[in-house]
Amino acid sequence: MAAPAGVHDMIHHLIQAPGDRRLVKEDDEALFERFGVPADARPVLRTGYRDDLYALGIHPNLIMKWLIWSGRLTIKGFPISYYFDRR
Amino acid sequence: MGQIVGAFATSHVLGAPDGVEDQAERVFQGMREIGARLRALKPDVLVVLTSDHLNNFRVDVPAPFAVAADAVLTPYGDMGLPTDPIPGAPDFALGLAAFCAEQGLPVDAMDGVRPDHGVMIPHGVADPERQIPTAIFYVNSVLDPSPAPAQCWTAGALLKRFVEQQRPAHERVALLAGGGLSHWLAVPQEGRVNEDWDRWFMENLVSGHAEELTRLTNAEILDAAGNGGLEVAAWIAMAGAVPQAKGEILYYESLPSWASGMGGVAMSV
Repeated sequence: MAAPAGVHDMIHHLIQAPGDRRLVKEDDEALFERFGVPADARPVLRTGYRDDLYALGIHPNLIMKWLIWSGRLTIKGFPISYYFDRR
Repeated sequence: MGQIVGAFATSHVLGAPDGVEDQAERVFQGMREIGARLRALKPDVLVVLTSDHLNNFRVDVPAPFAVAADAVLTPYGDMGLPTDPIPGAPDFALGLAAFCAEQGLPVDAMDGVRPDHGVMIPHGVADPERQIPTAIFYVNSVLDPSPAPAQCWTAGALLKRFVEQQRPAHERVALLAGGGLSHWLAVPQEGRVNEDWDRWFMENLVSGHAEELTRLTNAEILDAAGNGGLEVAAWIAMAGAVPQAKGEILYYESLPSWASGMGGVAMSV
């Protein structure tokens, strides 16, 4: 199943433009408009979790990024310094 | 001729230690052991074989194999990883890409690469001082098509020939593959780990039967080890550069809370 139009382009843009990632929480509509994301995909992008986004056809690695930027990642975070300070 | 002086493979992620402190520590100490052994070999060049996570490649532009051509590589900084630059090895990387192309294996040469955790966790543990010139050899398993195990073995064989035929005399090259083991990432099966398969895979690798892994298809790996399990492609490429070598499993932990089987091996080169 292919991802809805514009979704992969939108996430790829955010990978390269970290400053725009704030829009995911603050003005997602502007992002959706800019990348032509279909109206029926927007609610899922706005509130959906991993399986909802997967069902939409979004690439798993891009799902991870979207969930991180939208604050909905379910895998627990940690400071890398916990390990790297002891290398 | 140059020489491959060491070959290692490790999972290329770390996770939250909460609730799995002992396992997390064994993983980290296993990675540290790999790093210590690698540094003791005093390599002139470190080749990191791994997959990108769509931070440097687009999902709609297939690039099964690629090298980073940059003289200085600034990490992407995902997972909060340090972004201090690391020295690249552009002469090695570009030479490898050209050599592979001459032998019929297309390898893209990329500028402006910002290595993500797939490179920087194993590299960061292996070379904390960031001193070893590093050639990143991407074996991209997140793009469609993902390179088949047999292709990866061929890529490793070409890497070996390149080092032996094209590199300066006495150049010491260490290989560090990253990725795997079984994990299902951002899919409904996330959290599943196939420990039996992971151990079977590593046992083949360290018992001198790595070439048998080339009989696997990506569909079989996907079914048994998940979409993240396809990252073992980098391990197979590493093994192809040291054919018939046996090795040692340095660590293995099944960590569902990290959504991953975690393992590491050292080959006897």
